[in-house]
Amino acid sequence: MRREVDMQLTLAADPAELGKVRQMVRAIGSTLRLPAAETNDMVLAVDEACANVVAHAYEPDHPERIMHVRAHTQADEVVFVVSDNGSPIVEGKSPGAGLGLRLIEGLSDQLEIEGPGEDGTRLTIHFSLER
Amino acid sequence: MDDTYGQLVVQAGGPVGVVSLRGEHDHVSRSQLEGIVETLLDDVSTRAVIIDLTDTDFVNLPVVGALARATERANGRDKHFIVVLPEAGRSIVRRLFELIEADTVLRVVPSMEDALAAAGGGAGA
Repeated sequence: MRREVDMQLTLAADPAELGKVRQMVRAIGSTLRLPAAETNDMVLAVDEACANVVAHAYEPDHPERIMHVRAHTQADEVVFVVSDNGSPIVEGKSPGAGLGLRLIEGLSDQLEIEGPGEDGTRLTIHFSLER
Repeated sequence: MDDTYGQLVVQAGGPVGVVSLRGEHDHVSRSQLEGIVETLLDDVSTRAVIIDLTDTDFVNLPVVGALARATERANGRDKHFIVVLPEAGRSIVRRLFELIEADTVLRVVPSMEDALAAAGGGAGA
């Protein structure tokens, strides 16, 4: 029987926090006993989603530069939700952001982008556990 | 949590400068990497800069972007800029390089021997 996870981190939207995010994803891969290649894809995708928040979501003078990362299992997949309270990650706003979103799409089984809105932007990244 | 960030190990002073990225590298070390590479490229005695990813556990897009920009600067100065990524190297780094087709903008070779051979055969040799 596969284990279940439900974890959440709230971190400063700061480059120094990206390592913690990668550690969290690796821990989830270990808990779920996933092959290294699948865990690597999750690490790359979630790191990139958070890197987009760090680089593009907030104006420099924003008073509360934070990002939320939640990971949970549901049915036959693990889902990562990366959200912020900042301005939009818009395709074309920055070449880096656009390439990053395409990378996440390529690594995951499904990517949903919600926002921007009053609650910021939310990326929901799905990985099938039956790859 | 453990500190997973990496080290930049630089071998300079000759015609070929080598920067080895050990551990994990992202936004945090990118600016330091850019500064080191720029210093090496500014040195008139430098013929080539080699970036060694043999012991690299992780890089993300901003780091690859920095390497791509350094490649352009090296090309503009008629110098070599070569990335070493062994075929048996860290799979997560290779996975990123394959997905973004990094070899279309970077000169990637599988070994330091190949890099040194390439560095000796062109500009400034």
